[in-house]
Amino acid sequence: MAWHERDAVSLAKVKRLLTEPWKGRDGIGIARTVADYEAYAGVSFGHRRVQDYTWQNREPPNPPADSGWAERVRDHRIEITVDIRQLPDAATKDPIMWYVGCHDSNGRELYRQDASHKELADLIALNRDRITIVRQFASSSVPASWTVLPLSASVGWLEPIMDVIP
Amino acid sequence: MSGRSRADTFFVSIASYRDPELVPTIADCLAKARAPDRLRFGICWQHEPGEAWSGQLTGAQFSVHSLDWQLSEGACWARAEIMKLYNGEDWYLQLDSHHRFALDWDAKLIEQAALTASARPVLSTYAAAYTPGAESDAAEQVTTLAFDRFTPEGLVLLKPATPLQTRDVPTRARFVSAHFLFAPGCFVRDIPYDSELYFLGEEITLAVRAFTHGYDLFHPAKHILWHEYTRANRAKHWDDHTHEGGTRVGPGWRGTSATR
Repeated sequence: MAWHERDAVSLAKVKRLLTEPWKGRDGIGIARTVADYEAYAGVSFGHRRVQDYTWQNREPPNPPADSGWAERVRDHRIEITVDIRQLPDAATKDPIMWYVGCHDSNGRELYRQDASHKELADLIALNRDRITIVRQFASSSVPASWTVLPLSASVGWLEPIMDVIP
Repeated sequence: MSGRSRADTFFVSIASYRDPELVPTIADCLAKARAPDRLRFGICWQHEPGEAWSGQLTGAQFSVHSLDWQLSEGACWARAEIMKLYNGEDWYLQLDSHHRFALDWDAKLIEQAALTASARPVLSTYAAAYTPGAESDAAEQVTTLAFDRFTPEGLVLLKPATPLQTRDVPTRARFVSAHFLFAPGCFVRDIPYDSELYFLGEEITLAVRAFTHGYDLFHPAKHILWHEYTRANRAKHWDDHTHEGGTRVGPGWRGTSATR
């Protein structure tokens, strides 16, 4: 059997175990339920959502949540445009990485995905005055601002750049 | 769990697919263990046609399911075959075949398990990375597992992460890794590997099945071992097992966890 045929059978079985679990030799146990796991881990297999607490990789068990939490999670696509001319040279000359985070109105970090050296090199190579970093994530909170914090090999951490998300 | 007992024997599960790192991995595993005589290895050795088993790895300490790689049915199948070699050891340690180990890794694992105060602890994480030939460059690092994303099929993919804070005791985990999983030996009886699974989905089903069987999931608070992730130019099951005999884009390109 070719790998992709095995994979198709496997994917279907995994999906079924997570959403229509069965007990037995290749199934789940009886000490706890899959719903218990979802509450513990902050995951909804049916909705394909995770809680912000899970996104942030904070230690489980997750805080108790009402049964409708997964329906309140929304997809967000944030375009972070930075004017390179306003940055110190070190930010683009020898960047190790840039911290890139999105926060709610209370300043709580909702999502962080740093811009790697390679991502920055590709953006800087476009040779434009402004570069745009795109971040996509799901959260039940509304992202209110973004923060970029460049880390330079020669200078270290530089001043943060922040802006509101319209 | 109580502290180290008189026995504390380990069954070390190693699924190896055409991997030249297998022998160095086992050699380092034995060399760095505090009690190497208490280790017994169950190995699914998926090898080149006609390849001879290493003369270094013979004796009662090694139970080997040996087969031509063309007969392999994948990683989960291999791990299921290895579980059939389990013989009542106190601890089950599931690995890949490309690792290096911290000194006294076995004693550290037992200590970490005791610190969980759980009767059924599972200690697991995506281990820190090493590169064969450059082992001295690999830093000791405590890591955790984090949610990465859902696949279109609804499977959870994971990524390695650094702990939010340093702790002296293992932290609770919501996920497990298939390349580094340590549990009491009863794990083999309670959660036998599903040989129908192929690759993606292996880890989330292990986590859910272990949790629902009453196991408590943890990340070790100490560095235990390293893992080789990229494995560039190494044979992968999905590259070999196609109808056409050519190369397809395998699951390794679909998610972080698949690089394990």
